[in-house]
Amino acid sequence: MRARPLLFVLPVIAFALTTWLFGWWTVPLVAAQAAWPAGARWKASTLAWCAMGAWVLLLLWDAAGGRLGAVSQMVGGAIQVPGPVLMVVSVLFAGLLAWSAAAFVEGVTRRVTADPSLRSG
Amino acid sequence: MPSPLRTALAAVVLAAGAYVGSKPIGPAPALGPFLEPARGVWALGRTSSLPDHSSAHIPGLSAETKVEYDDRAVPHIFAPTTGDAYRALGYVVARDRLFQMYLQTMAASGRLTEVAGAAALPLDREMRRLGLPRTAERKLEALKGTPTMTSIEQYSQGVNAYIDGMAREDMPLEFRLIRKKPERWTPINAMHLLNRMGWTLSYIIPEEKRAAAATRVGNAAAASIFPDVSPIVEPIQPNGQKAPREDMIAFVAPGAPETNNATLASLLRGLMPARERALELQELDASSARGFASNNWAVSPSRSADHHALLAGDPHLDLTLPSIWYEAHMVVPNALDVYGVTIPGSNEIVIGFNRDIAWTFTNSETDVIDFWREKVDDDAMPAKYQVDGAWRPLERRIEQYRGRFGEVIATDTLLFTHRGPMRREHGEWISMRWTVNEVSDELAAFQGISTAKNVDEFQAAMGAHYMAPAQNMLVADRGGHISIRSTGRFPIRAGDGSGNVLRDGTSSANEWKGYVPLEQMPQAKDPAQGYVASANQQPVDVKATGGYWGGLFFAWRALRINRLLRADSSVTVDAMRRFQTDPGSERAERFAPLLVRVGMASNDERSRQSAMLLGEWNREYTRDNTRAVLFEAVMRELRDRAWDELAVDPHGSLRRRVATPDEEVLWTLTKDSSNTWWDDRRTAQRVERRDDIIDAALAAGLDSVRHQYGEPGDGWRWEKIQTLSVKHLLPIKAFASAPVSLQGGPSTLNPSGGRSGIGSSWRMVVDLGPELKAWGTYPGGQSGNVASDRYHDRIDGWSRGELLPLFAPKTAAEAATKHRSTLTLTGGN
Repeated sequence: MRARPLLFVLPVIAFALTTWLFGWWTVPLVAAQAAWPAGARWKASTLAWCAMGAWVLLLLWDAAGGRLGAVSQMVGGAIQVPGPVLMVVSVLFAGLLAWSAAAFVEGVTRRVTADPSLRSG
Repeated sequence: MPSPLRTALAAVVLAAGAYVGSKPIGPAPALGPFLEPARGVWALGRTSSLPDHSSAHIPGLSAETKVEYDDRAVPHIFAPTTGDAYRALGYVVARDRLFQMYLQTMAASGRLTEVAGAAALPLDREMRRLGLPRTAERKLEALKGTPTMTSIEQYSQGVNAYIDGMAREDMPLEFRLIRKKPERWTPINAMHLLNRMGWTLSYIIPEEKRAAAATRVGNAAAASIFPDVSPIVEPIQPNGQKAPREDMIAFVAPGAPETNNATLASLLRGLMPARERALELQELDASSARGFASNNWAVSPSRSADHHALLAGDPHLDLTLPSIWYEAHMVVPNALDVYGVTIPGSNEIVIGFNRDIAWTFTNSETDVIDFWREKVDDDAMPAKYQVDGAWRPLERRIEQYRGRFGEVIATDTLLFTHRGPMRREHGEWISMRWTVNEVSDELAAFQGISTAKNVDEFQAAMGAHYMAPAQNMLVADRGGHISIRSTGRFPIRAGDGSGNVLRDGTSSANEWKGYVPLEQMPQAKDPAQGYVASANQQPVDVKATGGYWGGLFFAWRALRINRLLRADSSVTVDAMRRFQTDPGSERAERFAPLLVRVGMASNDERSRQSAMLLGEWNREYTRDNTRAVLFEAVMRELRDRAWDELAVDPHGSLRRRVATPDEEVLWTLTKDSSNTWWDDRRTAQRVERRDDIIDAALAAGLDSVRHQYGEPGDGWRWEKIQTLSVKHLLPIKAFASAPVSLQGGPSTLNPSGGRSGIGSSWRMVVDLGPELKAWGTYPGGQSGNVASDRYHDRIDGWSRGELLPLFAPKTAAEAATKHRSTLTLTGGN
């Protein structure tokens, strides 16, 4: 079931859409939501890949203007980091945010469901 | 089940990610909004190109206005009213140059600390202590209710419409890097920017050099090597001579230091622009430090190949990215059709043409600043100053400097007399009066000339409104007339009229007596010689006309352009273009033969070799020549040795001097081979003469070039030595265009390059035939977006001296034939 393409496509769309509409901070929120509740269909690592995929898609959209290389060179030059490295850092940033939010939610919710004392409050 | 360790690690990573995503760390911006695709920096890859079609709304626009960008990304604005044209201009300039407008306004208003923190405090203090923000307020107040004010407000509406409608992804990269947002545009910004131009061009204090020299050699000697009148005369206002005249200077031998001048010298040095002080510390002599070198000329139909009047303009200014200029064209049916360059943030075309005339400027370089020693009621905390025995209240102004986060980092209390700002130096209170600080309305002048039909209407509009910074205004019309006039306020001083003295402020008899009337300003219309030219030289032949113009004049380029124009009685557009980057040098034509002659007779092998190498030079600063580098090195050594009396430290390096006389003065000195000034003070046993000094300079120059560039050969190629870096307004190397190699050198018509960062900012040639045709370029590009293909696309062609045809369509339909992008602007509320 997890191998179905839809399982990847849905989070990718969600990450891309919310990033585009609201901004970067939606990445951990979407990941947390997807990892909730315990036993959700998406693993943290899957969500990390999906978030990175979403940002790559958005970067490709930015690249459609034909000047992404120039942007990368200028931005990289300004902060003295090679442009392509900065681009990779951007994508990894999304992946880390998604993985950490999902893994955190996963860990907490599983502990809550596994521990009856925590459940009863 | 996930391990607790993994959960804890995830929590840490999440917290860290959220932190660096949302909070700036050190100089780095918050990574989240910075790096996110779609809205962050990467979005500039999508938004940096002009879209095929776009639209926007400008409140107050009376009807739809079309903007057609041509294949050079020049916006052609077709508006139903002049007000709409200004609104559209504000919009398109902000669209391309928003960060530049922001930063230059901050600099001009003395608010750079809000961007750069306390490091920028000296620059801000310089602006505010000169009284420029106060002047901007006074000028704006005086403009209330005038057409100028209306046009500034209309322009501001356009700028603000762009800012209000700007999508997050369009935010210029620089704002993201410095973590600032654009401020709403207000009319006073236009005043600040015009003041800034006034500061750039007319903040010239000739007293400074003379006073500094007097502290070493006495007043009389200093006055003789820093004369008010240029010894080489070929003025802007033709004097009827067919060749330049070289007058001899009555050199006064170096005398005892004049200690009384220390106050004035120190005050004036403190008032020098920070940048010039910095450049002088790099051992650049004063003329290189200033480095402005604008040229303009026009020829009558009688001397042009196609029998039309031709005009060439080439103002030299700070070369930056984005460029100081923005090219635009405004068309309003039956009201306005003007093309040219505008200062981003100011609503008029400054240099350009309409269907009937073309115009351009060079800086007049005249002395329009004076100083008074004031008597105050309380030396420590003055509240009043005395004039004619009566006490007058001082105007007090509190200036607060804020840091990046709005915190107050410094406060100054500034004092003003009726003359202008007053400051304390060496226990004395000195006030300053400067034409840029007087209330004026230059924009009305630019508005007037945009619709002028002939040279007379142009000069009338300028004469009526233009005050500062004084410019040599050159205009030609389709009727075949050419005209030039140094226009602006030139003070009439008390006494002998000299501006080179510190006056007594307690007497109203020492006030400025008014301004030189229009008819007495340096000027010429359709002179018999068939051309007019200016290159920052002395405007009139003072021997014939009298009067004091002071300033900082340069003769060599004027001599060159006059020589070129005299030699060509059938000038073509292409010749006009070639002249702009002509590699010839009148300075080299004079000095090089003398150096060679003296060197070849020398007993020193190195001097003879140096002279032999110089003898092979054609005296042109072409890119591939390998001798100009030696000539410049020898000249540097010659200056050091000739002016050794002016060294900062008489026992140290000769290169650091309190002041350096112009090379026109040095050339005059060479005509007196036994003058005392040639003596090297370090050799007490011997009296050197000119040839001894030249001999030593030749040898030392050769040694220094060998040391730096090796043996004569490819390493000596001028293009490897004289390069230029066109820097971004922020000191970010990646945004600069460098190195750019150029044809031309010191004192040629194209002296761009070197460390001054100054060069040809807008080259234009106009053929005023039945249908006006124009060519032009500037070193940069229309877009301020560093990722845009229009960011510095013109620099290569500019460096080769190429000009591009300027497309000036009469209608939107004609503009569409060179369509690159269309912007439709709509109005309403």
